[in-house]
Amino acid sequence: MIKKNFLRNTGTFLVFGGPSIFAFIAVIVIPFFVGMYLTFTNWDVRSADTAFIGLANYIEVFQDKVFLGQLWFTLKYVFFTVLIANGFAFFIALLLTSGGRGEQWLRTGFFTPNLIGGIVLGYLWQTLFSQVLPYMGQKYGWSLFQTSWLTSTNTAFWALVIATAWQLIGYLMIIYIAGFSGVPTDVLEAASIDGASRKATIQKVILPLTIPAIVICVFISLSRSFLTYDINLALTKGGPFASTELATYHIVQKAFLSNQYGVGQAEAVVLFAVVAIIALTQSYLLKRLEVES
Amino acid sequence: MDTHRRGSTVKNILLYLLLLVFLTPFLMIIMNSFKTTQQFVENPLSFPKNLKFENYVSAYHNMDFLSSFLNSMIITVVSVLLILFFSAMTGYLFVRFNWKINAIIFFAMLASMALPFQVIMIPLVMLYGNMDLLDMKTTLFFMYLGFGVPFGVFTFHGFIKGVPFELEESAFIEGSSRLRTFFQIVLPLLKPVFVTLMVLDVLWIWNDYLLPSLVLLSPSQKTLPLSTYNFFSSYAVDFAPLMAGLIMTIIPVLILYLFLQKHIIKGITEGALK
Amino acid sequence: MKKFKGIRWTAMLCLVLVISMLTACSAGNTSSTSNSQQEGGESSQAAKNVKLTFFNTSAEVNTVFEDLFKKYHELNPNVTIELIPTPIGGAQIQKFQSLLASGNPATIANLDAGTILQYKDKFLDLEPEKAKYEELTKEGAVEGALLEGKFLGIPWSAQGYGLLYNKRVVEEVIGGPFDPSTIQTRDALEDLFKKIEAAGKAPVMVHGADWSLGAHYLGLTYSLQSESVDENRKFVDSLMDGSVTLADNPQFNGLIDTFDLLKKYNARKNDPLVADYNKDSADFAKGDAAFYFMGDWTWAVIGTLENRDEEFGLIPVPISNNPEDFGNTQVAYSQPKLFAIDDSGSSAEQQEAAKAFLEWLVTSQEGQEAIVSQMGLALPYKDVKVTSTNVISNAVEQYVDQGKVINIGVINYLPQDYWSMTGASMQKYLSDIIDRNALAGEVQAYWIDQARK
Repeated sequence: MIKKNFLRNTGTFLVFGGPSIFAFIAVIVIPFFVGMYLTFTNWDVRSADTAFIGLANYIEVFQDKVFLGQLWFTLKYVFFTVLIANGFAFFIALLLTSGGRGEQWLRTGFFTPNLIGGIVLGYLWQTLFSQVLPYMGQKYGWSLFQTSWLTSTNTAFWALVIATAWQLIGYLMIIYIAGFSGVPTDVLEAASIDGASRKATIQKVILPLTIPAIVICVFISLSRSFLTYDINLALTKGGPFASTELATYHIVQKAFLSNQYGVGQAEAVVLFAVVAIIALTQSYLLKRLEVES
Repeated sequence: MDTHRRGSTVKNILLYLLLLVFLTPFLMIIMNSFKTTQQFVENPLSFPKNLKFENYVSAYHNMDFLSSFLNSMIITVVSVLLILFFSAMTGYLFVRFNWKINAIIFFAMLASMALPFQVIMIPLVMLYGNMDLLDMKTTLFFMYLGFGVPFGVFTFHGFIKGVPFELEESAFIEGSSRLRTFFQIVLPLLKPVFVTLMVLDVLWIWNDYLLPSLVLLSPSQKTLPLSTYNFFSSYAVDFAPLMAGLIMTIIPVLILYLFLQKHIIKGITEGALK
Repeated sequence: MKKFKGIRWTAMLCLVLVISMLTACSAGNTSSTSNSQQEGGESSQAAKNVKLTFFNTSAEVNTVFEDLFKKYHELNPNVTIELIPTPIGGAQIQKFQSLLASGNPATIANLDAGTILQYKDKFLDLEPEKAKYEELTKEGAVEGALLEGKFLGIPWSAQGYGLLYNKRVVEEVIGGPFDPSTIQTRDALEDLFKKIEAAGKAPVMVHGADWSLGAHYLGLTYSLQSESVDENRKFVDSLMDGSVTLADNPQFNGLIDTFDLLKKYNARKNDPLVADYNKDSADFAKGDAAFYFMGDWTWAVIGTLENRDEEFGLIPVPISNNPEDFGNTQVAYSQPKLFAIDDSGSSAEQQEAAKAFLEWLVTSQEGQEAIVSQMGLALPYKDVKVTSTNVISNAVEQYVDQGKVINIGVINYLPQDYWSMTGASMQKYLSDIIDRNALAGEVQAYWIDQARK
């Protein structure tokens, strides 16, 4: 009986999970472990012989002050990007689920930035920040835009945040809309009959019921902004003077331009650990919130 | 009632203003796709003097548009359908069966979403290159399945959890099998998630540059994002044809999005999630 | 009822999918096996159809190369060449490495000489071809392409850089014909700058990108130490072991003194790091700035502009007030890109076909037409049948013909990231974030750090 049950369960597992789990393992898990293995060696595409060198690459990572600095810079960038993108997405989605006219066009409009890919998007914003805004700033005397935002560390940071958030907002908005639509209309009606204010409705009714959407959105925006590469490459190229290199950008430079593949790979593993811990912790915390409410 | 209406008018005006700011970069693309690169560099804000489609023609030839378009289309359609279908099944498996192995794999998938692609890039091309599997669309479908499954499973998992088990129970009592129950009862309920996920996955794959550039080596396999690279040079970008090429790349997904968006709303208003 | 329709639809879709997946798989497999059989058959039948791949890092001329491949295929129907386009910046090397790692290296690679040196074990030693190319090329071209004494890459273009000038603007200011040889000292340059400024024009354009500042400007420090590349390499070694202090080096100080001058008269003074290459080049070509620290490659942008000036030339960057000092009458000159042939995964037939194609490329009318006219590059070969329209590279050629050049070959031996790392320090100096001592300190720290590796 147990055996029969086991067979049936294995069958269910293979039918429902087989293809996707197989692809997941073959494409992500195995290369990941091979990659992990490489961090303990001095592998280099140029040389044939590879030797095991233990933790030397990791020791190098924690001595690389530049990398640790960039990691901190990345954390700040992620914090603001996630906050701004989710804030805007949440409220735009809220305004766009009340059934007004033209909603569909507005939704499409806010989503369009996602139709173009990272590098091109970065170039577009680069032109905007380094040409268009200073052009207008000088013409109309706006002091904020007199010089390009990309030539000082502080403003280049915000340029990165804005460009990333700009694209993320539409993406997250879709998920929030899907989440809000799951809120049964009779609950909302009941709330409005009870005379609950708009603010109270959001706080007491909509927010708790949309926690799954919030969990997904925060998780996506966290991992996407942690792994930003394209926009960084095209928008600031890490400049001015290498002060806006996000962690992934630094890793690529290290592994491929500076020819320290092992160290770059080890830095990527460290980054992975940081992102995984933060992303999973936040999901866990938010999910507990969901259970409690 | 009056205040309510006035409130919604204010709200709409605000929204449209926000949208205008939001879309400025796009208006710039459209405007500048009719100008020469020189005119663009001199003044990105000037209006085109006349509606010339030269950039579009040159972008069309330069990008080998038709063949790139077909490649992108095939790769996107097949990969997305594979991801949607198999993630839905796996998401269901993870929700309905509380096995340890499922929890472990689900956790691994979640964690993998935080993985920088650079960690697996070189091992990936090494492994598949040594097995002589590169330069084939099939390999790319398979890789997209692998990369797309974690997010797909994650999303379906969240929504299937909200589907009450009682719905399926009655089907089981009638003697329906797991697979059949899944297709007959669960899948139809997932339509809005399906459509949402489809839009997100289509955009990702349609615009993806890195993975196809690693897998597809011969020029006849080039996708649209790979073709737009014809406009990038070592020091500068040839903006005018790039923008025209960009618009031609965007239009198909824009149409798809407009078409599917109705379905998102329809699926939701029909109360599929109740 | 409606529900059922949905199910049937989904089920059918799945079925179609699985089938298409399976057929795609099997189709893929059969095609790949038949391919390999074909290849096996071919090699036994002595070079029938050969397929070559071409990795190109000069992305701006991708289409010119593709047209050449088509032409060559018409002339030699058994040879097909495919272009592997590359992305930008550091991503180029990323792609190159991934091709190597996957065992699919490009047969021919157009790479920076320094990159070829880094991967020297992967490329074919072209020693047997050396004598032939020494015969074909201008004097010193093969010599300049040697990497650690080995002939690994075939030279095909030469570039020079210095202070470009817009002839019309300069002549309007001085009120007569401009003789570039009058500017051989820093003071002479400053006098001219003052006149230009007094005339209400911006004297000089400094492009604020790290490659321009780090590789081209600061890079002169290493090349100006002596006329011998070997001596210059020793200088870099002594920077690494700390036996030479950069801050005390006369060439470095001379260069930075001149840089201070350029900074003072910079057209982009208000926001020096914007570094929009299209715009900077266009503004110079239209006379908004009289001088421009750049090289003849910028013709790719200038050449096609409308309403630009016609005549341009270049002068060396003076590093002192003694006209006799090395560098004050010489312009920097190099062969930045070389064609290398893969020796890590290519067959002998492919290598032979690659050699034949490359020879055709640099000697045939079509090839020269493409390199000289379409790409606007200087071809360092003796028998060039095409005249160039690139007036800047023609100006460079005059220096070359008089032997007044700085061999910047030392940069081929520098680590690949030197320009981005030291370029960042130069950017800080340009925007007054650090002073000269800090600049020297940062650059030297980079070299000492390299010695550790």
